[in-house]
Amino acid sequence: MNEKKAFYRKIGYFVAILLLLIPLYFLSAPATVKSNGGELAQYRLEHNLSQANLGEIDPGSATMRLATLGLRGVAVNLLWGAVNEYKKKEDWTNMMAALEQLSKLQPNFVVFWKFQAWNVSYNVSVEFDDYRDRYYYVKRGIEFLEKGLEYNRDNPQLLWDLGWFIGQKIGRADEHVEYRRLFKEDDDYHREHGDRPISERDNWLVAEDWYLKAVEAVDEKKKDMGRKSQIVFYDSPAMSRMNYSEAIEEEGTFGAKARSAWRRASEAWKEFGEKPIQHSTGPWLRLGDYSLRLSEAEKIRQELYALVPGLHEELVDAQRANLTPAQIEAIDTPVEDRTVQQYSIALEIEDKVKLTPDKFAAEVAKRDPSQAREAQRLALELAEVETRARYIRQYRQTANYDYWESRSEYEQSENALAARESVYAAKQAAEQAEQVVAQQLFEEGFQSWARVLEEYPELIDDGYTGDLIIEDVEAYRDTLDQLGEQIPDDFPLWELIEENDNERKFTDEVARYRQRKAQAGAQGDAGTDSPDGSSNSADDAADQESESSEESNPEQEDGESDAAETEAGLPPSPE
Amino acid sequence: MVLERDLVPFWQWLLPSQGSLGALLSFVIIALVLATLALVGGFVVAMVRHGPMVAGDKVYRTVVTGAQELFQISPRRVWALARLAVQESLRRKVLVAFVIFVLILLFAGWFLQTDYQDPAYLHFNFVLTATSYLVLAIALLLSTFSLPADIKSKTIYTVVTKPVRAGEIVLGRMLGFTLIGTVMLLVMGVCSYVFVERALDHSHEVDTATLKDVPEQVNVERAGQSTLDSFHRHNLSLESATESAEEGWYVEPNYGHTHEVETIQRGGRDVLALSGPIGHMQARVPQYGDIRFLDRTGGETDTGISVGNEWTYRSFIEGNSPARAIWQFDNISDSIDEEGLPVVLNVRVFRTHKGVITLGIQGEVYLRNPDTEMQSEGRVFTAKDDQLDLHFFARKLKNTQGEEIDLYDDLVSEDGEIEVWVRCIEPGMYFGFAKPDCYIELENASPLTNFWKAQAGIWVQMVIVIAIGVACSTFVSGPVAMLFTGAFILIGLKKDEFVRIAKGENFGGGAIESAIRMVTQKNMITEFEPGTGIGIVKAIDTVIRYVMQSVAAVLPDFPKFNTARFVAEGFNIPAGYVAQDLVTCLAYVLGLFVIGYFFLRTREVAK
Repeated sequence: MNEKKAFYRKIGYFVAILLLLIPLYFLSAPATVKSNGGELAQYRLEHNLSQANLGEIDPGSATMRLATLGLRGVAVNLLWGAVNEYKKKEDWTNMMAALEQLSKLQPNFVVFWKFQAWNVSYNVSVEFDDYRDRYYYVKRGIEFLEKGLEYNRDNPQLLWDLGWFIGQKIGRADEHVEYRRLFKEDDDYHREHGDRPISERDNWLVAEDWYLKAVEAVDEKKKDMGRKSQIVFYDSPAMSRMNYSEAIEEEGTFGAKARSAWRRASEAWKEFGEKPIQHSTGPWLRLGDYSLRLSEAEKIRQELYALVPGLHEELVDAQRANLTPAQIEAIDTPVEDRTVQQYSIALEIEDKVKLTPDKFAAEVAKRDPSQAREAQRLALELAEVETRARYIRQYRQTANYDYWESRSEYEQSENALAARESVYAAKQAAEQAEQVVAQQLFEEGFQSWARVLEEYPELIDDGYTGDLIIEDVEAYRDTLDQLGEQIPDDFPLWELIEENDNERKFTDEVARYRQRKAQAGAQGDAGTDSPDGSSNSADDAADQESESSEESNPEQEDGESDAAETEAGLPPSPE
Repeated sequence: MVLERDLVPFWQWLLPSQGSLGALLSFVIIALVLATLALVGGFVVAMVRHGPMVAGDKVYRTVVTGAQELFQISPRRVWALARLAVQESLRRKVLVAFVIFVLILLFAGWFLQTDYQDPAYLHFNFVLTATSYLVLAIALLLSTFSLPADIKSKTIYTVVTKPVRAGEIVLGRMLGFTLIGTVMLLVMGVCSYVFVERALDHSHEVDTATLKDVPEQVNVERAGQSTLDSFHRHNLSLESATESAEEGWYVEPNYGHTHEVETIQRGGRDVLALSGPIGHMQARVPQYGDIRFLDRTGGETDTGISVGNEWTYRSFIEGNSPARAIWQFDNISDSIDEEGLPVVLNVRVFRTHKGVITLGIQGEVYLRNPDTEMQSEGRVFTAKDDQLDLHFFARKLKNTQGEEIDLYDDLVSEDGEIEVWVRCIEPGMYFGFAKPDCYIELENASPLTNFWKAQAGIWVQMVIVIAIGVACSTFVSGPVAMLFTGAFILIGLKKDEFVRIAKGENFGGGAIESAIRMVTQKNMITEFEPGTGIGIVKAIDTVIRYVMQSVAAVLPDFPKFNTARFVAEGFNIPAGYVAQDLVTCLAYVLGLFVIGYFFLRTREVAK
């Protein structure tokens, strides 16, 4: 009886298994040439999740995953622990071997590749004292990412990281001079990567290629870029071009090659400006469209104001009538000239006196109801265009768009190239202890810089160019120190130093220069009439003070860029 | 080579010395404690069943008979039983393990690449670890299932009806399984050796396109590179003839080996090619000394300073300060090398500022007589970070006054001691050292012998597992014995961690407390709110900790037996170290044999 019972029970199990197999069949039938397969197969296909879609199929990896008998998670945990332990105990060979095993166990876990490649390139490499050993591990990290890419074909994150490692790690590390040289000389690496000609073996150019592949993967192959900022993602190829141009000049390449490098950088930047980028709130923007959007807004605004001629002026006057004289003075003073008090008054009443398109449209509706619909339409359109312009401005600030746009342009100019070349030659001469030659070359260089600044006056206070030039002026001052001289009064970049000496490296020099200038002015006044009626030292000092307070107030700078909108009739929107 | 535990000389290990009981005394104490426990336990059980008088008599008789039987063991019968165990193992298709091993080696190539800077290290580590795990697994399966299966199928009666003693059955099994395991280990060893040799074998050619004249280098005519093979190249230079040497090629070591340049015939033309790799397998014989430090003020200290590394194996000395690392070596005489003293130094560099990136950090090394305090002239060197760097001090040296001195006569004390002093020259830079980072290089031993010494380490582990397995299988069923022995292996492999938990040095508390933390998802650091409940838990954990500490005292220290690292890093395994392993193994076998014997005697079948 018992035997029979057991037999029936087994039959029961068998039937249950068969029943369960039916839904399983519909769920997980594999895709064939003729059919799309079961639900799971279709889902995999739809989301590109099958192994073949993700990347290379590696029998080793599959075997190892099977060999863990379902304990892959445990094995992975143990191996990650082992990697940390090996790293702690400086057992690099075993660490790399453990990474190799991990890569077989979780080949499609992109974070693993990113994290561990970073670990090798950035953390392991610096454990070595010889820069050649360091380079070896930087390269191992890069190769690790490439391997990850084999398993995760066209993955934008890995492609972008490759660009970053090759660009930034090689080109920006403390050892970047040596790393860049080793990278150029690395025949074996380049032979495996398309055999580039020597002149193209620059890490920044190679990085640009990877960035472009990442962009292509997103744009053409519709891959997901993950949580990376779109601006950082899309500006990388152009930034690589900028960095390349900077790097070759730093290494002493000027003339046609440098100009061409900057030209290509400028073109790449413009391309970036044309790239549609989605704002975090949804709308698509082009960073290069900023002025277009502003003029579009202005055009709509004029159309809106023209609906009821004279209404705009009337409303503005009415609002002003409610303000105190101090308030009127505050908002009438241009942003850059406001005192601290005026600044806070203006900020306080901005909202009250703000004549938004909505308010204006409502007034139009009251005065001339027949225009109400049109006014509302225009007001909406204007608000939308303005919002878009504001988004573009914010993103341009994130990308430092204006700076790179103007830099890639002025760096192509004869004067800038000459300035860079002379300053480079001057530094070389200074290193060779030829201080007289260095002095002459520095002065030639700064003359050229002065001409560049004349041509592009906005560079003086863009917050970046000044810093770069001041570093060179420091080198010039060292040379002069060795010659027992001081920066002369006819030095053409005094204004730039006064504007940009944020770290107060030239405080004494500037003070002495001003004193000398004041004395010269006073003597001029006392002796003969001042030929140009130049200002006295007190005025100068006051100017300087107001300028430096401006420099230290970033919000004012922001306000400055809002001036365009203020002038166009509306106060800057509070952001 | 990194040695996180000191290599204690054999006799010092065995016999009581400063601060240590010595292995022998520890063994005797443990044996006595266990014997007492067994006697008391046995007496209590017997007393419950038969009353105190009978219990006393039984215990007495068991002990006396046991002692008699242990001395009456017949080697002939043990051998016969061992043969039986071998036959049984073969019948149970133990040789399948070979197939698995060969499969592992075949597929190892998928995971073991040669593009690491030290491929030999990885390969030796791998084959020795694979062999060890496999052999332990076989030992576990063979030893634990054999006796229970015999008892269950009653085939044991065919043995016990013969005039054999329980001790002989236990010993016979242990011997038989050890024999079969030894043969397997031998074959696996040969396979492993061949595998590593073949995996690492490669050659290069001279890449003639890279060969250039180098007039700026002294004594070098031409320099260039080899072709890229097995993921690496070697720098080559053709060195011109000097007074002491003929013209010849120098091949710079890379990936842990070098080659010789030879001319071969190819297509009727002479081609410069490189020989097979040389130096993948080495057995350096270091003589270690004792390390001490001087701090930045020149005061004596046991350790240098920490530079913030999580791993505190090395400690550091500050550059351009009185800080020194000092090693004292004894037994120094000209028998080491008549020409001078080969001192090998491994420096770990730590920079607090970039310095000159392309240049290494400079240090100075000199010898000093600990008695007379006479010093040799300092030798300035550029630190090769984390690489063995040989500093050969010729016999004729100068002291700090510039007078000529003899190394062995003037710098070695009467007791045969010498000190090596090292300092870092550059300010803001640090040198890091541990005790094994400086040694006197003795004549190299045979790498092949060294490889077999590592196999001996595995053999010891195997024998201990067999002994535990057989002993367990005398009183519990096969699967239980397997789990018990398996647990012993697992805990033994992680003995350090186990001891840490037993001593309460870990985070997260003892067994029960950490289980509660896991369930309640509480992290390892946060303290529990004080209360009765947690008080009880902690009390139970304390008891468990005492039990764990007792277990730890008898737990085999498997990591100590694993000497793969020596072979992988090319260092000789000291004979004394192997002897320690063998003696430890003997102690386990002896103890487990006695335990197995008494347990088997308690079973119905063997009475």
